[in-house]
Amino acid sequence: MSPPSPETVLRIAHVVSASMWVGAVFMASMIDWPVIERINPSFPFELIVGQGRRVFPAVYLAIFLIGATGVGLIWLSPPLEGSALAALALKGAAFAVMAGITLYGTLVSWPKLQLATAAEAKLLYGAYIRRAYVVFGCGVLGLAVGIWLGEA
Amino acid sequence: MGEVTVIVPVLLRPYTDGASQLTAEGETLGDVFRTLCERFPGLAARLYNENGDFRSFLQVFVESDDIRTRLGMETPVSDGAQITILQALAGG
Repeated sequence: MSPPSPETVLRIAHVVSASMWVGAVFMASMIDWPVIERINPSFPFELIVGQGRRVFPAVYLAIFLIGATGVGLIWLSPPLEGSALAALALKGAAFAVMAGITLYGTLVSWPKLQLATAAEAKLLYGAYIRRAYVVFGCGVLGLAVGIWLGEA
Repeated sequence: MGEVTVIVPVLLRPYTDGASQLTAEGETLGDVFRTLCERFPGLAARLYNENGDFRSFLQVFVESDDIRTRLGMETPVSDGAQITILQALAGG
């Protein structure tokens, strides 16, 4: 069995990074938050901020790796057909939306959340979770298009 | 009892009448924050949780010392000390 090619290594790193990001968003927004919201009459600052602090390095590492490996994959095997270019553009757009929402969350939502009252925090975090659904949707789209692009 | 300077982060300035720096007197960090919360009543709800405890995820430094490595709110403050409040980088 021959060692994996550089393209295979990049592809694995790309997919694992994207899966880590999408999985973190899925877990936080669709599994954790509904349960936490139901069992906590007040806003659980310690839990949510603690979770946010832990997820921060993982998500930004994932964003960096997705971008770097994506550029590497394009360089190693540039898409030549129209459909492959369109798929790549779609992936790029999905990535841009995800990264933009994430950056907005870090720079705007989380600083406000840390100083909010419980009532304000519920509203802020509710809006953050709704944006997380968009991130999740874009992530699933990007992964699906990426798998198709890899087979094409 | 020393007079210290507190550097106010941007998001707290609406509750300090826009001031970016405040001065207050106190022997400990807790005294300083209590004084400031009496002077600016809106500040307490931003710094303390519903149980009246200082929000643990806000990082407070006396000069360059993180108070979590000192005595927390019981950390003594010396005259002329600078106190900084930092928020955690979080989210994704």
